[in-house]
Amino acid sequence: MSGVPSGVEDQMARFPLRYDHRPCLLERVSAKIKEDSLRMNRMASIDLTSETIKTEELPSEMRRLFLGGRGINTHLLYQMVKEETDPLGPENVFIVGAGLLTGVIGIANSRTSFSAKSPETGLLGDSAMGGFFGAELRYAGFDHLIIRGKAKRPVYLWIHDGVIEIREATAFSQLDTLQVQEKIRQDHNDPRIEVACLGPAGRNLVRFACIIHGLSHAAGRTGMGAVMGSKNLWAIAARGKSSIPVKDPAKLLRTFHQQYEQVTQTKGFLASSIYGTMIRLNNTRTQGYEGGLNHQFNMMEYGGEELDAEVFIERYETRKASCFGCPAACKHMFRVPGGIYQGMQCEGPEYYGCGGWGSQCGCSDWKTILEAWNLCAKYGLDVGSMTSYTAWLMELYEKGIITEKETGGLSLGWGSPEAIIGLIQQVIENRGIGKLLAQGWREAARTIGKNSERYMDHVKGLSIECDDVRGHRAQALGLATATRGACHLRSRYTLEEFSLPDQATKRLTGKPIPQAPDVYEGKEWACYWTECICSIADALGVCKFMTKWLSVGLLGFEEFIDSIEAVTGMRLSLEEILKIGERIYTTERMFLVREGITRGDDTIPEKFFRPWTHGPKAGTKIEQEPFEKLLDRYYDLHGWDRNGIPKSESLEKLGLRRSL
Amino acid sequence: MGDRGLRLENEKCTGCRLCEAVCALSHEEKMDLTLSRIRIHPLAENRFQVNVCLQCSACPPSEVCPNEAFLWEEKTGGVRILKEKCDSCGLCTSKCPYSSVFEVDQSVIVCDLCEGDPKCIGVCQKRAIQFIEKRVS
Repeated sequence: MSGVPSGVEDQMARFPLRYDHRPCLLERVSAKIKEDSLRMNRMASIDLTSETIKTEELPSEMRRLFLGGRGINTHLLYQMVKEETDPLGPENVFIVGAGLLTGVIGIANSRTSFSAKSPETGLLGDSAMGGFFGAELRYAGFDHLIIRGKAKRPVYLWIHDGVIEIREATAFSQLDTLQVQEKIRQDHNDPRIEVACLGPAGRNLVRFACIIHGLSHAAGRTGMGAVMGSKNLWAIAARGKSSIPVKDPAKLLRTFHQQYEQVTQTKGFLASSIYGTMIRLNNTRTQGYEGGLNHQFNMMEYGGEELDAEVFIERYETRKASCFGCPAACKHMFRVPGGIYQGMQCEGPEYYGCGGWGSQCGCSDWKTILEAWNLCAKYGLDVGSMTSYTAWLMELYEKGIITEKETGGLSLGWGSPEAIIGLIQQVIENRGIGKLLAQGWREAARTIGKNSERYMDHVKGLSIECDDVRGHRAQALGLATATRGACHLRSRYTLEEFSLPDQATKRLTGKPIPQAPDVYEGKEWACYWTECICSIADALGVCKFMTKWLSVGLLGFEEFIDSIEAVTGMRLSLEEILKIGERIYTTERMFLVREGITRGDDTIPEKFFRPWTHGPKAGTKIEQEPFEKLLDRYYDLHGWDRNGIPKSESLEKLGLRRSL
Repeated sequence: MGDRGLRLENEKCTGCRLCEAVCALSHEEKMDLTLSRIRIHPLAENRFQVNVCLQCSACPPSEVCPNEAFLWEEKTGGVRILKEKCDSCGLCTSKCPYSSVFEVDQSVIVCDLCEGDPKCIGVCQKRAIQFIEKRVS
């Protein structure tokens, strides 16, 4: 299969481009599409340079092999982007993909994936967000958008009822992410419009800019906001009134009710609906695997108790909110009642930000963390990278590698609120050391010199989160091999922390996985299984926090198979769905291999081979030799050679030989 | 009118739209939220206004429908629209104090209480919609 939409005749009329804000009178066309959309899923190829838009039906073969969302995105990206592609050049391809189940009734079917070659790592870029954007995109008649070229002036896409218009966006130049969304809604006089947009960070091509939707849903990692900015595409707005094709509505309704019943009775669900991701703060602190002061330590020396979900909920949370179709409602709405940020309110924060500015930067002041979170959401900065870079610079400052001279007068002492907030401001205002940071950490390290890159903890160029994986072998393997670089949402075997008995893991994953977290044997399967469940969840558009990735009672492959059958009529076996997961993951791996990634890049930072200093498991470390053997077994399981390159028979088995 | 009706607590709504989805799918067998008889209207800062018929008796059929297409069902306590009689004049839509009669494709739709067993209740985890005994006024 070619899978490339070029050369396919337009199936829909080409729509004239509009640059005015008059209400659009295309009702006749919309009505036609409303009928059409009952039968098909569509994707659009948008060339911003020539301002042409082609739409076509999503090839059913592509659905069968890659499902949707991250799956189809990855496939298209591999086809369309080459090694020599400049991530911020017009030749990079920016792909938006809603999952196969996104917008369909189910448990948290809310996710949208954004893929392109990453300007932050130079490798695979892929990031997903929840909220309502993906659902609205599908109701507007599109599952995937393939965006190329570069607009002559700032534009946004206005997608409604099967129609895609390219509109003028110059008026957004001074607005933050919230204001952009509000302006688009006001201009079209419709509060139901869902927008994914850039803030000043994306517009200024900060390498770790993200895409923001709603108050703080972010497609954060790998700098997808910078790619969008490089195309002069400042927002995508969607509003749809048509339907998503469903093969068997009665079965879908039955399946949904079963899953709702199953999920809402679990403890994992309950915990998510109270604490959200912040529940992890308590676990990592008490168990001693929270990264401290840029991973120099594995616990915060003091102030850790303050950074607890309970404290946040009692003092700052005002209410909860949901993404599309999610009964858990894990989004916290907060308001700061006093102090210099009095009255500040936003949505969030998630564990990443709390741990990142908290233990990693040594700050135990909630108000500072909340303000930093709020600024990142408004400016469109990736919290994951911003927190890691802050911790990195703080360590460089502590070691005397950088001084006030380089930082633009900012004193970067551990935990300093001025430093945390000041760095964000510097990045946005393009001054001081923020100017350097905006070019990405590699460029910054090159300019700073003095071995500064040694203090940056990353895998394949993407900075590591606040978790410390030394105590969990499967998680360490997952971190080392994750396809977009250091990432907990690709292959982190979260269940390792629960020390499940062998029978339970056998029932869950098909093979027993050793209970002890510090055992290397059998952990390759844990990593493989997690890769598959994460790939499938992303391809379907299901939030991972409602899947077995998080907790055993939540959604797994069996539940996915039922939902896929109800929506598409395609009944997959357990082997087939695992194979799809592996196919998606292998395609990503091939993208990396083409970029020159080999075994040497599948590793964790040197720090993790040194023992933990604090906590109940002090002394724990990753040992080089058994870790390398684990990596060998992992490659064997995938059918990759000892260099981490997929063998041709493995590609053949997955039906990838011709398409890759 | 029946002795039970819907009651809303808007401040509890988290905006997940599962009620809309289950309503549209069970009534029209389509994954199309514009066919839902309950609507979640977004307000600022993740607050929501739920619009659904509350069986409030503000619309006696004789007053709201010149075509006699608008009926209160004795058995269920919900409203029924006779599609063949409705000419979508919009009078019922404008009469509803809760903006809960919706115009769709040359017709109107309104909550019929799912024959006495409203489906939206079962999927509202935060209990923002409840099906309760009506108070005697």
